Amino acid sequence: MISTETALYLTRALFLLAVLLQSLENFALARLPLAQSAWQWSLIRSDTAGLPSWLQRFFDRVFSRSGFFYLTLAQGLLAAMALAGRGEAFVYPALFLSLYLSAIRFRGTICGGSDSMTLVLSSALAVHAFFRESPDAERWALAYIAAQSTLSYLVSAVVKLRSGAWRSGRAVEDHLAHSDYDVPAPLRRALGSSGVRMALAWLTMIFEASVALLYLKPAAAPYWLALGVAFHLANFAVLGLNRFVFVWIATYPALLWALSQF
Amino acid sequence: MRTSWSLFSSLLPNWRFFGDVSAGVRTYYRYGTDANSLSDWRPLFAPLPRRAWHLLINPQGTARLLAISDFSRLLGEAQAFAQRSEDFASTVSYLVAERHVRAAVPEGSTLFQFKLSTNRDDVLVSKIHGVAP
Repeated sequence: MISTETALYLTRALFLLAVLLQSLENFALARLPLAQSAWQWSLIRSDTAGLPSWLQRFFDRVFSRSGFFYLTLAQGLLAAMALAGRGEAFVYPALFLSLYLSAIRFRGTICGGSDSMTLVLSSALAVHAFFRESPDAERWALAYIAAQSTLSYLVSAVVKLRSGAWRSGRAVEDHLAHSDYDVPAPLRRALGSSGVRMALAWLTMIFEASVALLYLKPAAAPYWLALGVAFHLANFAVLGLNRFVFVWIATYPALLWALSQF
Repeated sequence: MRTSWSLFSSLLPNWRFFGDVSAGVRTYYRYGTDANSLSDWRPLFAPLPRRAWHLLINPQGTARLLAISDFSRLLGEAQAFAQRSEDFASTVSYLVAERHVRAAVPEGSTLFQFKLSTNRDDVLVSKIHGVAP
């Protein structure tokens, strides 16, 4: 369905686009007043109290207001450089480092699972860059990304299927109608219907769990991936999860490649 | 103790999206000048406009998601504490949450309080804080 070279090319391009957008967002995020109050480094640095003093000094420098500006700038420039096809050998390891540091700056993640998937992609591409002379490096990188992409849907489905609240549809009300997420008012109103709640819960669980069936019927992959794009766009519309859209779609070429191996 | 965990948590993917109860929690706050007559509880997070171009870049939306993570983390840590002691109020997670709320308190108020609630009950209620840090 897709060659190894094409899958790697598309994975890189989509990943770099996602990182470029994240860098622009981080620039703006660091300029918000909250960055100097709730997310002020002088407060968050208490988390690193048990670390060696040289590492704390390093963090103090990198996570200062100007330090984080340059870190984000470097991240954006590296992504743009790689999109232009330059510096493959060092760009991906450097991007991994900058993304990892950005996550630490905000106590683990800036935007939850989207940061985790961004690090999954960057770590696979960084390891590939180190071992790019090896004939199997491309295959291992794609296989790791495809495995994590599959697990992201499957684990999420299993956790929900085991939950009585999800099976009854109550969790949808908890998570959408009664949560801090900025859910559009018409949808909040629609959740007053138990039928809508139940349908949304089961559609979500069935879609997420069905990723496993692709390994039995790989020919269905293009249709499933199209549904996946729609699923992430719906999550953006409902929950505002914009970062998830691009970084999850960036795993799709690897997933398609993995399925074509069966 | 979060010291080491905060360094490694992002490297260990957790794909249990919306599998825990904390995502179904809403943050409320109230404020005033007299501890005995604070305002009614109101949601901390006001609705944000959502535009099509926010798909590409949405710093306010991502800031909101990061704030939600902060309160979710606070709740997780609160549940790990046997009791809501003074120690808990001095944790980084609590102080971060407190600053989120302090930033939302309107001018003229000198006191505020916040709570996290499910649609069934309150799961965490803060003490009353002064607006002045």
